[in-house]
Amino acid sequence: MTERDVFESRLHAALVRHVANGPTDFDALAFARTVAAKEPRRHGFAASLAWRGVAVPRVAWVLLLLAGLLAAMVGGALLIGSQRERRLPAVVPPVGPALACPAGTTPDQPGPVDQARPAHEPWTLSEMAFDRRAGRLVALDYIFTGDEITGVETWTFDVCTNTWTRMHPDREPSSSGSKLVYDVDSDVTILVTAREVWAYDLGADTWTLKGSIPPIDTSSSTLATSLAYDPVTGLVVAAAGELAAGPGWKRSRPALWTYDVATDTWTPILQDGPAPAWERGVGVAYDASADRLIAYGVNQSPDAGNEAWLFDLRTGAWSRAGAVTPNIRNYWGFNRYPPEIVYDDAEARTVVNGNEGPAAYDATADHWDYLNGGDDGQGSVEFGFGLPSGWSMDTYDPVNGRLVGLGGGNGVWAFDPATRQWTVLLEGRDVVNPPTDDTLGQAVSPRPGWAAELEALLPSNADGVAFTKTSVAGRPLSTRLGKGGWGAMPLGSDELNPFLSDHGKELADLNTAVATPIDRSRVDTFAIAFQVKGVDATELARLLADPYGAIGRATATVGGKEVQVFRETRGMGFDLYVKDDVLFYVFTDGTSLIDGIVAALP
Amino acid sequence: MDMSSLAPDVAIASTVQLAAAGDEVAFARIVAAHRPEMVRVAYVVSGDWDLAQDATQAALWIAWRKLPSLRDPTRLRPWLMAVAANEARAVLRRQRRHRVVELTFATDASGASDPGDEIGQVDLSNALHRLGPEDRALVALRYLAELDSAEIGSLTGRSASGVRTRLSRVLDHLRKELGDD
Repeated sequence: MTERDVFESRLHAALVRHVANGPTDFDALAFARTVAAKEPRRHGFAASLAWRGVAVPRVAWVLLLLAGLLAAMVGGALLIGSQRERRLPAVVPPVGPALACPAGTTPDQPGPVDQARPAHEPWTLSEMAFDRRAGRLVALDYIFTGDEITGVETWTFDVCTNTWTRMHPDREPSSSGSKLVYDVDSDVTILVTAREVWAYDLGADTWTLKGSIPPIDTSSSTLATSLAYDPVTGLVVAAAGELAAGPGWKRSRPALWTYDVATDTWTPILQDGPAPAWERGVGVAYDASADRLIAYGVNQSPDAGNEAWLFDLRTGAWSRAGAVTPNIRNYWGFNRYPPEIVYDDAEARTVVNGNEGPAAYDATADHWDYLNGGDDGQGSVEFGFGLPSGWSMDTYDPVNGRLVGLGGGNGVWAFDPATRQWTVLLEGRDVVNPPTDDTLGQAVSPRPGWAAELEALLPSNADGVAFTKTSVAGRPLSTRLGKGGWGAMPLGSDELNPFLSDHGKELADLNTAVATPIDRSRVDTFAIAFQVKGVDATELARLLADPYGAIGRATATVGGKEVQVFRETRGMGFDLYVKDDVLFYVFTDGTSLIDGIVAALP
Repeated sequence: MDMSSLAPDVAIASTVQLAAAGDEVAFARIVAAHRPEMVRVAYVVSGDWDLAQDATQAALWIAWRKLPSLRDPTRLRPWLMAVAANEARAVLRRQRRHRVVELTFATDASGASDPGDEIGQVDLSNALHRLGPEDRALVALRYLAELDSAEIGSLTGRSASGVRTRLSRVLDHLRKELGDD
């Protein structure tokens, strides 16, 4: 190690001070057990039968849990007897008009795929809101150059014709980090950014800068907002988190405000009695069936469950939901934040969504319903087959009575909580078309300034995800993808290094591999899907620089392209290799190849 | 051979081998030993303790999966630090797509400035914020985790000289930002 100069020593000292007050509470053993339980090691011959090996204990666990559930139900019945279930007074205040689609429109048919649409990846869009008077979604598209926002565009989406329209107001908000909510009473969409409040009048196509955000106590270091609309008062309700003192994980209690756009005033809502506090934060929605604000609070410490609470906006009283709150998890199996939460008018339920699909809360019956799969027995939303890739539940469409959100490839999908059916409102595009047989796929056109990275559909738990060669073409992956979530993996990253430097790889015949039909019995074992989002020439050159040294490899021809192939032989995994202008990756279950994709690099 | 210097490596290797074989207690030892430092590295990259903890959880998850492929168990610590730094970068990207509204107020509990020749914390935070995530990762690995350029290079797919060159540029930038030039 070379000797440091004075500045480097000062920098080191400053960094040590900079990180001195970090969190310390952590149960390493509990975490290790959680990880080991979710991803048990496989040994020897068992590794080749991993999907069977997992299935047996899962069945046993399910039976055990069912037995426990049955016992609990019997015990509960004995204890509670004929006590009536808790029902809140059913109040159905007006939530504003919702148009019906004009005759001749086909809201269930995808809009024209070649139409103009927000040009950028879905996650750069702000939250969407539904303008009930116009019958259109309002969305802001933040334009990034690298990591910097260089522009904002206002778009609307017609849910009857499934078409985007680029709006052209004289001015548009400029700051990022925003939440949108439609104010029925004032017929404007309210935007709260990190600094300002704006109002958008869709009819006039004008943005108006209203004022500043609520005067939040700045002794709190980090606050996150969630917005809802209260149709009884006609005011917007904002929930923020104020840091609560106490040992262990940082917890925040909700600070609630109303916003009156007519007078541009924020007013704190007084809370009566004990209030909840969460480790991460909260998402809120107004539940018209119960006239309550539903607050979905997220915790993050190991094994801490999320909590749903109900807030009475008229009395200021909090009450905790009695039903076990589902944990909406990210693809590592931990509670995801922030939650996506909307109220479903038609079913009179509040729906939350994570990477694992939606779950609906019936406030009047105090009951959660898992909409995209089933309860895994641990109060968590189970990924059922059918969640479109990268889908985010952005808003509720009262015209057609369904949840609407964006997904991979700038597509738009709707989910009907009543029928549990997905509808493609707009096909995605700008994604990799995986090859069939030995046909090369088309890679995504890279955008200048983008970091090279792979989009990966990763397993959310040990069960992995299902995958086929034809599943990532911007279509709803309704029958092809199971558990999992989207993640990013930069080319040449440390994540890939273990694969690039791993011993134990052996030759494989790519032609044979690609031509091998998928073994459907293995689709629950492991799979992963990539789309190429742009490849940096320097990284590509590094990948091409023979990182394997003298380790054996094979050359094969696929679709007229020469590729070099390696195969993972120890445990489940995938290989990635690049040759000439072809990127290749492949999945194995430990002993044999399951599937692979070859994509032409730009 | 100096057995006293060999013993810790043997212990580490043994723990890693056990964890790689599925021993959750051994993995817990690794987590307990390295997680705090991983969180700190991830914090320098992400600038947010919550994100840093998320990134570290993801990194430890990766560690569990990849331990069997770790060729040199004595390199466990630098490997974990590099994975934590990389996951912090990944979490930052995901954070953007998940559209969190974070209203952050810069509060410097240590005071407006540091005495003597110490670098002020607010100045350091701002200077780090103006670096890209990749450069923050380099700073964290070099000046917090105290890995040398060769180690960083081997873990990030760069040459040692490439790391030194990049670090030199980052240091020049920080010197200007922190008024040391």
